[in-house]
Amino acid sequence: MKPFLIGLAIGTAILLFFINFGSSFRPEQPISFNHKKHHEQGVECATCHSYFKEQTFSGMPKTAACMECHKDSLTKHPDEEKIKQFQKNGEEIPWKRLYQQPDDVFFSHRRHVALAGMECKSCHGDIGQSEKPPTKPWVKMTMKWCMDCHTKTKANNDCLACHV
Amino acid sequence: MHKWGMVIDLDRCSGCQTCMAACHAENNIAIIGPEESAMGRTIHWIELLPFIEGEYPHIKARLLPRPCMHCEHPACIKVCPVGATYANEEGIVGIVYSRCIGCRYCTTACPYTVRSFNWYKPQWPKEMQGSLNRDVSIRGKGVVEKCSFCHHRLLKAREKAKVEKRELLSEDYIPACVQACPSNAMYFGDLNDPFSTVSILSRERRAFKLLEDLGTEPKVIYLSEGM
Repeated sequence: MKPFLIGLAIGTAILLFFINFGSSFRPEQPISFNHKKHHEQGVECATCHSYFKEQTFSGMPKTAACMECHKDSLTKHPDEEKIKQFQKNGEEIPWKRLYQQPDDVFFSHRRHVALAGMECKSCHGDIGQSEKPPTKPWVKMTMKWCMDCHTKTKANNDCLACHV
Repeated sequence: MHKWGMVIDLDRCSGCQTCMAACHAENNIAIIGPEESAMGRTIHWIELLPFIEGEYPHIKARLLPRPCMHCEHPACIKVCPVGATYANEEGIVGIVYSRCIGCRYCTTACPYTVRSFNWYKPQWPKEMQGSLNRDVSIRGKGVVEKCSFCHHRLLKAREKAKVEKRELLSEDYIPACVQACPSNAMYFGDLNDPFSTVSILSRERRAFKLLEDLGTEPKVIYLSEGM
């Protein structure tokens, strides 16, 4: 009985260690950005993600973009001080990337948003209403997921359309 | 449905290799060193093949630009064990690099030897890294690559046509080699359109295809008086 209990204890310890280890890899954004609050103030998606209508990528806000409104203290949130610190040091906010396509996949925000008229929601969920930055992608972008939507919307499902 | 094809006028071609340079820049083709080159491991999506025309003593050394023929019945597709290479609806023979296992059956099967294998991890001098084309993926070590008729340009042309709310015109889409040719020896367009330049030229008396007897039906047509 005793060896079994010792084994169980070690097993549980290792399990806890891995769970802890795993969760520490969950990317935490440098600023606890509240999409909902910004959205309520009438800030549009394109104000911070400036390129999604013109480019393949959507872009993340630079420190200067934040400072346009947050130059004077608007809130008492400690993160506002953080942004000021970034600006003082001449640094950009080190946003962490959540959505990543493999190298051989060509994805264009412009093609999906500006040309096909899709909403941000379709891939990013109801991000505009979230109060905390997401820690993982809203959807796992598997090829099946992409192709299902392409079939439904009668978009180009040719291999070369994405694998350029 | 379009059927894209190319016409190369050998009587106009001066063998300047601008098409090769343009292709290298457009498609992020890796630069390979002299030793590796001596082993025949260079990658070219379009290459100038030397040949001798006429009979001695009236001979003429000529060069023949050779991109992928995008055959109607390609030998490469039949031999691919993983379905990495295929012909799309518009007749462009494409490769899905992530599927390629690097067996090189296709490089052997292709009668025009247009396919190249990536023996090395692609590398560029530091100065060139910033000027790589973002529309074309970088092929890793161990996959086969070849000319795609600059398919990414077709996608862009479609985008542009959609924004301008019109149908795609034949002139909208033109590969880098054709665009760069300084002596106007290359033409590109829709072979299904009987009035397009390529269609008209392909019916000319001077027109011929490479290794026509194999039945691959290439979509690259050559024009020459001498042959």
